[in-house]
Amino acid sequence: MLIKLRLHDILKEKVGAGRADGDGILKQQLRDGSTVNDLVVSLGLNREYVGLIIVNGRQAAFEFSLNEGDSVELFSPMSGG
Amino acid sequence: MDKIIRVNLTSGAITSEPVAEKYRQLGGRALTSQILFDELDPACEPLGKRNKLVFAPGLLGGSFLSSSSRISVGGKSPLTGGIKEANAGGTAAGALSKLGIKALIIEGESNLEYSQYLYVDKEKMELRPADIAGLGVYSAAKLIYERYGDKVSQILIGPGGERGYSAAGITNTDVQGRPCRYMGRGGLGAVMGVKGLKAIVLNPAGAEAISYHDRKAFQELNKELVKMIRENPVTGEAYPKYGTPAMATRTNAINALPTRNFSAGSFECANRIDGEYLYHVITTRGGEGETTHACMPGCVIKCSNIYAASDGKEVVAPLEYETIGLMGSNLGIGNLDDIARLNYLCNDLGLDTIEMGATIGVAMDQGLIPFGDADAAADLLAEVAEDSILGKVLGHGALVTGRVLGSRRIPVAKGQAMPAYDPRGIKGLGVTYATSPMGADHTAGNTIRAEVDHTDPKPQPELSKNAQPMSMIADSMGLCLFIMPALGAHLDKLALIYEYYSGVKVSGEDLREAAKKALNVEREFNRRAGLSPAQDRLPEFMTDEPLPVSGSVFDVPLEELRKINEE
Ligand code: SF4
Repeated sequence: MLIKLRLHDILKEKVGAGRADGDGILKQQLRDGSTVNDLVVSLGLNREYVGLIIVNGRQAAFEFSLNEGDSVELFSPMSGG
Repeated sequence: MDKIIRVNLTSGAITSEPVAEKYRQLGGRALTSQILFDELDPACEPLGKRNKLVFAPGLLGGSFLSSSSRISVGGKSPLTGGIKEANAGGTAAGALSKLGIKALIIEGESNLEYSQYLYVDKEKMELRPADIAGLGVYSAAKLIYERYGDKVSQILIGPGGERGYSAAGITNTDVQGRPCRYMGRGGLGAVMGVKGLKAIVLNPAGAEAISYHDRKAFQELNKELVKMIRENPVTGEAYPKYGTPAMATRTNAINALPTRNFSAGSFECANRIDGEYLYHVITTRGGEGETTHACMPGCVIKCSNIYAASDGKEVVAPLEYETIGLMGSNLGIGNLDDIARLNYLCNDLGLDTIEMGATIGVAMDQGLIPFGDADAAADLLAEVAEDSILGKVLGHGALVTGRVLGSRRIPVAKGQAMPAYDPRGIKGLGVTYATSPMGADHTAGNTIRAEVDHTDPKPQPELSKNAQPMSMIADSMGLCLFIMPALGAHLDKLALIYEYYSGVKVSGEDLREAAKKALNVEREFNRRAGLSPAQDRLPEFMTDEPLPVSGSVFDVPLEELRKINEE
């Protein structure tokens, strides 16, 4: 299945270099039945780099099962501002 | 740090006292709160002569551990009517530590017709007439540097504090001498102002009171801790590059970015005010702008920044997430140049940008000026500067302004404005706003990093309850909260580095217990001041009005909120 992925700030740099466009958006092909965690692994990202997951505009967990056409946003963790 | 300095503004007496045994192992917030508890009538008037201000570095103050020299100030708050501690980075904690001062207590009230400033160096402590009275903090600081040289550290208030405005904070100078590191919350600038004290000049020249119990062991452990800070994704990558403004994308994504007086949790221009965009603006403009900058000597994270205009000239430093949230999205303003200008104006007047952002947001919501109009917002700040009747109202913060203008949508908890996290989007922080002895304060127990659904009410009380003592630990050791992602899970290491600094053997568990005890001291103060569990709640519009998009209301049950302060 194909999902739409948007990466933000440091994740854009970690994964996106040469792959994502300037907005950090890339299309990602995944095996059917993949979870967010599978997606994170497929990106070669260490889980501790992912602090917030949004799927189709809603906060989601690593175990969330993805579907064709889902829109996923990943953010690195922050502890306050 | 072997002495406590007491300045009585009624009599003009300045005395030095040895540190009482019970205060030896307290620092920062735990110390300021304990001294207030011991010395104040909790029911005293915040702007009366019976209130006191206590300044204190943390237990690790002055040490070369990264980010360990925050300065705390405590007093009874004119906003919350309860005990208050506000803290900041900058240089004052380091200077106090070098001078051997564990706490500086300001008490009484001057009867003189002119205001004064306190001058402290290693030989003398004097109250001097303040010819800088009435000046904005930037010009006041400049004059003080001209007089005493650029090695002094300054603590000062602006005209807002001098006039007793409840939105006034107390600032101190950063490494390059900008008077921009605010102990902003709670209106403690007003407490300093009504006492007739404009500034404190700390001259640490020749003072060498800092000593290490075991410098070598400290150095070794410090190396390890620095490595942990550098290798952590939050402290080693996100904060150094993008700083706190990176929070805006996150809060916007979970519908918690205050927008148009907390009427929405996401903002259509969020990507024009967030960390990535700020980074882009600063780097493309060049000139005096800097994307990474340390607020105190020795910080390896350097989360701060310098914001420059299109001509490359510095506008303000730092431009932080809280200001972006409150004076940007909360006002419908999606332009960093506008936010930076409003930030500078507030700083110069000595006003807390969180309180003033919420205040102007309420005024906009009531139709006084339109949302999104930065010039009109600057005009309101000009009213404050001119001390007009409208300016006085605004200067007393969101609650007073909202009441005068007839608002029923005032984003405060215990009278203090909410920082840049809508509690309907991050409910754990809503629990902290409602139950912390500090009122609405994001630094009193932030739950944003927890891996939970932030809109699920269930886990939130527990999260806030655990986060509140962690904040107390940081605030008491003088640690910047931003090193906690790397070190917060290693309290034993923090305990050990404190032992190498002071010679006092404690465990991580001891630190946690001491923090809980200090929180109880604050709660008991508030109880005696007349605050009750009935005030442990959020405004009704937040429990009744769903946020658009998420449909979320603040629905953590009141019984759950009450429980937090019962135990
Ligand atoms: S991390 Fe930021 S706020 Fe904390 S000490 Fe360093 S520069 Fe100051």
